[in-house]
Amino acid sequence: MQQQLVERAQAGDHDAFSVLVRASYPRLHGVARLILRDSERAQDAVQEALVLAWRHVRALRDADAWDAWLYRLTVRACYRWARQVKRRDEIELHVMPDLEQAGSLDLSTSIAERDQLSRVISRLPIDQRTVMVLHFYLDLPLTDAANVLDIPVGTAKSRLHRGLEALRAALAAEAPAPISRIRERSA
Amino acid sequence: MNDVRPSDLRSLERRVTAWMADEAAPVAHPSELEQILTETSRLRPEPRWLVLLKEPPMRISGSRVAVGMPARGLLLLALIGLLAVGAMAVAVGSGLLTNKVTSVVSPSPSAVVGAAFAWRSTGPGEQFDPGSNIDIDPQGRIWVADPQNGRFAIFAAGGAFVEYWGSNGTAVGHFDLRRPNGDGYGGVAFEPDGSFFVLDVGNHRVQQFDANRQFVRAWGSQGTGPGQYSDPIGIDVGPDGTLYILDDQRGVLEKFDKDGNLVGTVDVFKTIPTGFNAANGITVAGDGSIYISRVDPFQVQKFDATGNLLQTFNSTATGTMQEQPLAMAVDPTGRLYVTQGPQRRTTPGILVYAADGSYLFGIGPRGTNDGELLFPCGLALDGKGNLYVEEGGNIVGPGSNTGSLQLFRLGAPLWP
Repeated sequence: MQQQLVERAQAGDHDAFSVLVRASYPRLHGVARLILRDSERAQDAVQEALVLAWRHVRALRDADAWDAWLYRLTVRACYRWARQVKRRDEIELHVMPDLEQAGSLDLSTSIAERDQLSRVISRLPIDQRTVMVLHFYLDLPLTDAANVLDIPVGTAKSRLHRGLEALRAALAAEAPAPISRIRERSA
Repeated sequence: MNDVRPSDLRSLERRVTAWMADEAAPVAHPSELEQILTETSRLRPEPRWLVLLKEPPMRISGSRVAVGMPARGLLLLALIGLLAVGAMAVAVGSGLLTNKVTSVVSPSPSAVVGAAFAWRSTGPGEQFDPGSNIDIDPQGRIWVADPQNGRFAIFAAGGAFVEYWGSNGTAVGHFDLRRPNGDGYGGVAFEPDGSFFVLDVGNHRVQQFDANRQFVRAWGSQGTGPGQYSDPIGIDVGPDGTLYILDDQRGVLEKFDKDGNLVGTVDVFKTIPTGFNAANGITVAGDGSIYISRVDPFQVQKFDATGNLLQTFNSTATGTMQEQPLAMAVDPTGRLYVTQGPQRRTTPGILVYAADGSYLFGIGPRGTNDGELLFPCGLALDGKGNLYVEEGGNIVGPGSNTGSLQLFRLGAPLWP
């Protein structure tokens, strides 16, 4: 089915392209959002990737490679946007468990953990974060992730290993102190 | 992560997976998707040959696909391709290009012309620890830094190995051609009379020798004051004999006369961040313009002798430079030849840009065979259209001795 749609898109059928894009869009946006850690830039990157996909769809020889091709275009667009956009002033929100509300301790702990993960993952180098996104979010085997990134499998493994190690070390270093309320800190 | 239990690792992976699923859940608004579809509906898919004209195909899962650069470069590239085809026909017909041309990669298959692999060093004594600088002396000999051994490998014009010169040490006439992080960065630059300067990186000094390789003087020490060095990573001599020394950590490009007197600075760091690894090298062209390869973003910037920015190569986010630019050479028409590092994926090892900053094509596809490049870390162009490349090979650390010298001969339309 997908193969036929790709072939129709290559013949200039924009409706077929629309069907393909509608099916892929949430995943692509998720990938871009996780890599860039910014919704606006993620939107721009996905738009750039999809416009390029339509214009260059005839260069895709193997219709079965559609998904991998879209992932590659999206990742490349993300890299470009990551380089292009100047760093913005950032405000980090550190969410800590509120011990005064014992009844909601589990919930606030969960939120704090997510907040901590978010901060730590955002600080990873983009190449390590990208491999993690392809592997953990898209559930791609490392061989496929390496293929999307056009890097050797060993490099993908190395990036994943280094990313996880950095993640583990950063999480271990960030032992949360119990502070009530939400605390705001300028980066 | 050796001391981490597998169960801890699996737990971390599960947390990351769950976090990513949550974090990516709020997808973009449907209106944004509709906007994209509306925009694409106004466009037509480009013919396959047109896409391939803009960028060489890449492999995905056994298929060949292509992505390209924006359409604004299309017309120029197509024109270059047509000109190149005509020139190739003339060149081949006249027997100019007799070597294989498979060493050249271009954005267009039709533009696979202009340079041909001619030779590489392979024999015992012809391989060395890769550095980042080569230069050609007035006799046409090629000097290639061999940092691990504190010396230079010297080749005759055309490629035959001649000798090694220099040795490790701190005394005059001895060199330390390594940065503190172990990178080889030995540099040499020649005056027209054959005297020369060696950028003795690890000893934080410059040593000057006459044309008979007799020591003349040395200056410099570790520090941040004028004439001192923190991370000296570039050296070249201008057409008027002025010596230029680039120090990215100090953030200064200093000028010296032939007697080693500091005569001024060129403020190139007003557009380049200062710091270790901020820049990779300097080349001074025949017209006196100064080219700096910078790391973030991957660009080469051209300045006039007073530091005014004239041109930026790879200025767009969708540019062709996929890795940090390293060594550079400039031909008499102002074309820039620049090497890029090993993490450049499938793009060529040497990129060629027109004087106006537009990308022309690349030389040296990724690989280890003749005419292929993994880590081209040095580059020099003589006055006869010979492009010498120091190929680092698969460097695994200091002392790899994987370096070799390769020679590409430029033909039409690059060289008359």
